[in-house]
This record gives sequence, structure tokens and C-alpha cells, in this order.
Amino acid sequence: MSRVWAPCLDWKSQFSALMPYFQGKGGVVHVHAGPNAAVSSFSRALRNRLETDEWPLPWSTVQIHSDNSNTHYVPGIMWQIQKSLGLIAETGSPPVNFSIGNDNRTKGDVLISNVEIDVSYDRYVRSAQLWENVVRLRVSLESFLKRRRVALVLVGTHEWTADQVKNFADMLWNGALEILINRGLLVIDIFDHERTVEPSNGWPPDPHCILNLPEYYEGQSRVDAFNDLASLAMSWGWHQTSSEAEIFAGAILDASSDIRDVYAMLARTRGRRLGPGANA
Amino acid sequence: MPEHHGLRNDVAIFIQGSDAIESGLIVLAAAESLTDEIAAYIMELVGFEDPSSVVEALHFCDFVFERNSEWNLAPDVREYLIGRLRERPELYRAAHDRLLAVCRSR
Repeated sequence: MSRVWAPCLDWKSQFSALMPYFQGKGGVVHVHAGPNAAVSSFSRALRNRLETDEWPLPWSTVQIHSDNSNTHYVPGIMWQIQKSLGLIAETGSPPVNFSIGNDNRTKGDVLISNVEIDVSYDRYVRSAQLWENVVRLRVSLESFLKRRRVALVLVGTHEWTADQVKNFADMLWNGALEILINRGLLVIDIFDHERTVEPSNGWPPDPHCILNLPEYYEGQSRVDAFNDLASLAMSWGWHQTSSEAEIFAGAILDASSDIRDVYAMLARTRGRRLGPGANA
Repeated sequence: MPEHHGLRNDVAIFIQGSDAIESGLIVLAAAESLTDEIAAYIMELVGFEDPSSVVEALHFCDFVFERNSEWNLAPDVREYLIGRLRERPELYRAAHDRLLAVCRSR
């Protein structure tokens, strides 16, 4: 699906720090986010910015989230990357290929019953096949990065189990992703830095850049959020004059400076103004 | 601010003053992940004729996480809302009936 547009309030200092990467430089970025940080709003704004603004190379983003069962394990993460980037699914030749009963001919009745086929792979075969797929993913991603940029946005990696960290590190990070950082791959890891996982085999890697996600609008970020709120209120036609729009923005920020609360207040206002909606 | 024990403040803000939006959010908790179309389909159960404005506004909220082709409510929020949904057995059943119908139609 195309990215759902959502308003961006502030995030200016964070995006300023990320600008070299937005311009196409690969790297690993750690985003430290405490339990009350506006992780979803930041991730959404980041992906919107990358995918909708003009950049030297167009961006594709993939979100790998600890809450998303599709991206819990290495095969699922690989499938999601391939699907999101539209890479050709090259899964290799199947490990088993057989046929039963082809070209049979009869002029009478044929009864076939109780046919049971059981195919099982041993761990070595499964592991070898997964490794082949990791190599194929690396090759196709490397080719993709010649014409586009890719951001893998990892959310909540502090919740990974030791096995998840080890499998990700052993297979995907060391087998495909690490080498692609120099080809322009951007890995943005958003996690609670006070609940970090036990490192395993190079994961998590040393970051090229560290950001801290704030929980509140303060100082310049409050000024920027105020201006963004007023601009949105004007662009949506909620107010006819800039002074009215500024009163609206000020009222929201006076009610709460908590970033998550401010987004909720904006959403509440938007939901009630857009149309019948709440007509139950 | 309404009293919603165990609920994040931003969720309380979003539903504040509208029983319809609160019910809409409660019924969405039936699904582990959603698309806008599925969200609108199950929100019809609580009387929304056109829930698109509320669904659009949900995408502004920090308790909604975008995936890659779907979205989900933050787990702690969904857990709270599922508790509320279970208080309404008929709605609980109806929501899951609709989700099952969606699965079967795919």
C-alpha cells in the first residue's frame, strides 16, 4: 500500500542530524527511545519524509517491529524486505521434487486410497536453504541500492529474545546487511537504550549516529510544533486567519506538552471535523 | 479528562467526549492487525456509517503503529481495549464473525 500520510509536528533537530543519510549516505543510526517516547509518530514521520520528499535517490522503507508477527524471525524479515521492495522472490530450487501417477491410462475404474506422503527436512537442509536465501537477498538488495535507497526501520529491538538477536546477527546482519551499509543501506534502530539486549556476533553494531527521542515539546521544539500545528489548522481550513490558527496551536500545547498527547489532540480534532464520522 | 484506569493518556484524549469513537476503538481491538478497509468494516458494527474520518485520524495517533501494508494498535492499548470488548459479548462475537468473513473472502 502507499504510505498513509500523517502530520509531522517538529522532529526538526532529529531530521537535521539525519540529513546526510537522507541524502544517500548509508549507515547505522541508533534512536534511543524511553517507554513514553512517541516512537510510532517519529517512525511514521521519518518514513513519510523519506518516501514522499525529493532526494538524490528515491527511498523505500521497511519497518521491522517486535510487535509484528510477520517480522519476528529471520525468514519473515527477509520475506517482508522482498515484498516491500518488490524484489523478485528467488527462493531457489525446491529441495524436494517428485511426481506421482503421471501419464497413467485405464479403461476401467481406479481406486487410490490411503496415500500418505511425508517429507521432512533435516536441520542442515533447512539451514543451508535459509543461507542460500540470505545470499540471494544480499545480491538483489545490492542491485536495488544502485538505483534507490533503502531504510530498514527496526522498532523495539530491546524486546528481542537472545535467540532472535543471535539469529538476526548470524544470518541477516553478517550474511547480508552489514556489507551493504557501504552501498547506501540505512539501518535505523529505535529502541529503549535502558533495556538493551545482550550483544551477539556484531549485533547491535556501533552506530554512526545516535539520536534521543524526547517525550515533551520544550524550547525550540515547542516553537516548531506550535508553528506546525498552526500551519495545519490553516491548511485544513479550520481557521481563516493566522492569529486564530495560533490560538488553536497554543491551546493544544498549553493543554499538554507531552508529544503523544499533542498528536492525540490533533487527531481528535481532525476526526470530529472531517465529516459525519461519529454519527453513531 | 475521563477516568480510564490502565489506559494511556493519549488514548483517553482521543476518545474523550465521544462514546461512538470509544466504541469504535474498542471493536477494532478484535483484530491483531488492520487495514483501513477492515477497520471501517468492523466499525460499522457500532453504528458508523462512514468511519473513514476516524480511521484517518487514527493514523495521527502514537498508539497506532504502521506496519508495511497494515497497521496495529499498540499492544498495551489493544490489551486494555480487548478487556472492554469482552464486557460486550455480542459485539465481541460480531467483530470476530466479521474478521472470519474477511479471512474467508481472501
